[in-house]
Amino acid sequence: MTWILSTGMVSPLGLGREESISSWRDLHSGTGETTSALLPNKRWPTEGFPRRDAGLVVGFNARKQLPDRKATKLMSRESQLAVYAAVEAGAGDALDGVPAEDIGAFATAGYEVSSLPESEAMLAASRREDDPSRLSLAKLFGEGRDCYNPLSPLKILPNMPLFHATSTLGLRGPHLSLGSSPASGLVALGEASDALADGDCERALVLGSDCQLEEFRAQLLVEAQIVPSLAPAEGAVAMVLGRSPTPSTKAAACPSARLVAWEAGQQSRVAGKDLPAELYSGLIEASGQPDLIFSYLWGLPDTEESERTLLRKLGTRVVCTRPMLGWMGAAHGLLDVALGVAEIEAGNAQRVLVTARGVLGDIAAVMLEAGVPV
Amino acid sequence: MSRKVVVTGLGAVTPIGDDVAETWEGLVAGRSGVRNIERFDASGFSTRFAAQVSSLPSLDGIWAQASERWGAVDQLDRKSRLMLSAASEAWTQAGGDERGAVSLGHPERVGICLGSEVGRKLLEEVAQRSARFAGTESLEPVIPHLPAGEMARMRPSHPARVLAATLGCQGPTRTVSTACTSSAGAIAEALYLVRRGSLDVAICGGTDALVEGFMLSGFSLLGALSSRNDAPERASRPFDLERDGFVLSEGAGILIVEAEEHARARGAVPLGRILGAGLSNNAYRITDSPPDGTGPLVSMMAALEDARLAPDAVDYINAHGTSTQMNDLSETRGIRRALGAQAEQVRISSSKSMLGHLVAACGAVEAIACIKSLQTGQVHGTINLENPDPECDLNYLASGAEAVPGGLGVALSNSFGFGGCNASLVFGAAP
Repeated sequence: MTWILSTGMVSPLGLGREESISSWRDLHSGTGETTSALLPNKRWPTEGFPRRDAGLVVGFNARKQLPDRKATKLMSRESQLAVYAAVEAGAGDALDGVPAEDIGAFATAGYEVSSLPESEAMLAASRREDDPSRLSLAKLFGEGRDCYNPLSPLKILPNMPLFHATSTLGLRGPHLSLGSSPASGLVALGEASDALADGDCERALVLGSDCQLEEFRAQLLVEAQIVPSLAPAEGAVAMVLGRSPTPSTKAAACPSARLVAWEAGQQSRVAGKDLPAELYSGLIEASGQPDLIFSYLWGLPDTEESERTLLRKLGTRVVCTRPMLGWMGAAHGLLDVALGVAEIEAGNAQRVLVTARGVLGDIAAVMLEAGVPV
Repeated sequence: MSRKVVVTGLGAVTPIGDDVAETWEGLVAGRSGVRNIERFDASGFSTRFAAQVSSLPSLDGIWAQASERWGAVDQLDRKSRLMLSAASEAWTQAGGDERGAVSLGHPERVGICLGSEVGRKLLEEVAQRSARFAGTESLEPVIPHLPAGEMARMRPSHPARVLAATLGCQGPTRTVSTACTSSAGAIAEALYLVRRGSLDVAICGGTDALVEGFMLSGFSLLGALSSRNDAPERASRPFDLERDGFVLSEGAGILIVEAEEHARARGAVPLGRILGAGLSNNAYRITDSPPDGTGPLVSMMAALEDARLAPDAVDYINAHGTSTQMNDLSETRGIRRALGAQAEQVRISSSKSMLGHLVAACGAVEAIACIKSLQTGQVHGTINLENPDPECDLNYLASGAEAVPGGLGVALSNSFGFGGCNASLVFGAAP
């Protein structure tokens, strides 16, 4: 049995759990003034770009809001967001009394592209003198290199959010950093649950972080046909898992959320196979019918028909956050889980199914359930 | 459920061999794969050499079709192409055929765990394209001129996607991206999935292709690379007093891992066992290990505990041995603390002295070296270890292979990575 002991989040819904959940309630209930968390995108000139809005984290200042101001210079935006969420999840008593070597960390993150201004200076210094329309490789790695931030290669490594979060919290247990995919957040959650069950660690930090709001990368979303269906977005979600509730979980007036089952698979070339149907029915068979589903659906009829058919059959309330919040990439699956946890804690749901699918055909689903700590 | 896990197929493409046999022969012979860079003009670099795969091995059947198909769809990148070569060798040895996953089991019970990093050609291509727009104020006009498929190629999970589609695998697919521990972490993940009963067969390992300008430049600036330009083949010298950094490399290593009962039921021949895995986090610095070896100590102890073995059971350690000052020192101290009195007896060597540093693929290729050692009773040496660092004072084998009387029973492989990740794997002789 895996208990979700704490959550931390930073997203287009807000800074921190409290603000995010409050915004979510307004959005979801339809009682607030807005039906979307998307804002005009001012990160780069969007003329000619298929979407002019984005899921922006507003009011985030890494140098002021993260514990180690100096360390922020070494971090990409997604690492900064990851640390913010991890610190919030690690606060309270979720990690208390557990040796650092017994706390695992399971993360997924997008891949940060060096920002264009950072590359621009390097390229400008690398043009051939005799023909400025061409680059000189020798100059690129001479004068151009001098304009290049040597920390860039380290910033873009996919395990950097994991590194910065674990070093900020001082966690030294087993680790896993999964390649970017919206489904990989749910896989990281499931792997953490399995590691707890196997006794590999006593607590586990699960982390998902992504920042799609970089001009170059956003253009790549167009190529992947994610934009314009969805707006690019950024955010991070962290959770601490344990095999038993903490004193504060026990003392809380609200029910707690548990992860009761998870499944993952790869949609591949086998005729007649409907992998999502098999995964979800396996979960439902193992744990019961959900009364709320957070689905990955975001508006691609070709690849989503199977999911739509399944949801219609289940006849359960369905929530799709991507159109409201934008595409948070590797962080999105865990954001849906965090919102599912909030729904359980608020007594709005007893059992929540969260589904995610990556553009590369990887599929994952988790089942959450309300539990009363004993 | 806790099942025994065996290895039934091996495949590799490295700077010293197009397959496992050639690579192992090169390791035993002490052959270096390091030479001057020929693929691009490296004259402006402080380091002008690397370990390189000279030509990609040819493919046939479904593997050639996959290469052609993905090349047409979104330009198969070098690391995915290297992976296909290694996977085809491992797949064939394990008894897999053209039917794909179904030839080894139920497709839902065949999964993939690969170590891979971000595609690295991106900035280079941006640079080339930007040249077309010299004189413009910003790079904005460059963006629409990116090659098709750029996003797919950049994703660390691209090689796993290509492999899953090639073989029709429907089991879980994992891409582990933890820098130099990526493929060791992927093998650990495969062990867990098969041992727990989530999979019957896992295709695991890693691939990387680092010999390109930006990585060379970035790692040079970090002071991580050897700059022994006058003698490239002598540049990678783990545990030597005159070591001055690691050597970039490229290649792929793939292992077919499966439940022993599943392998036996289909008549496959186990090549070795995976007995345990241990992972740890330094929470220290991005590029350095703690000098006292704590991170490596924790991962090695966790791996031995997972394998239910005492430290004195280890016959051989394939060290991470990068040839950087701090790694080799930290690893030495970690091994000494983990193995106690046994530390001075156990044979230790570094494949990177010959292969260079395959980063996301190193753990897989070095795992293959461990399996070959267990199979043959022979361990390879560490070339260029001519003047041992007095502080690296363990039984590091210098150049030349050594036959171990009575053979080997247990081998341990270490991988440590940027970002403070540590992974140790324990392998056993075939049952």
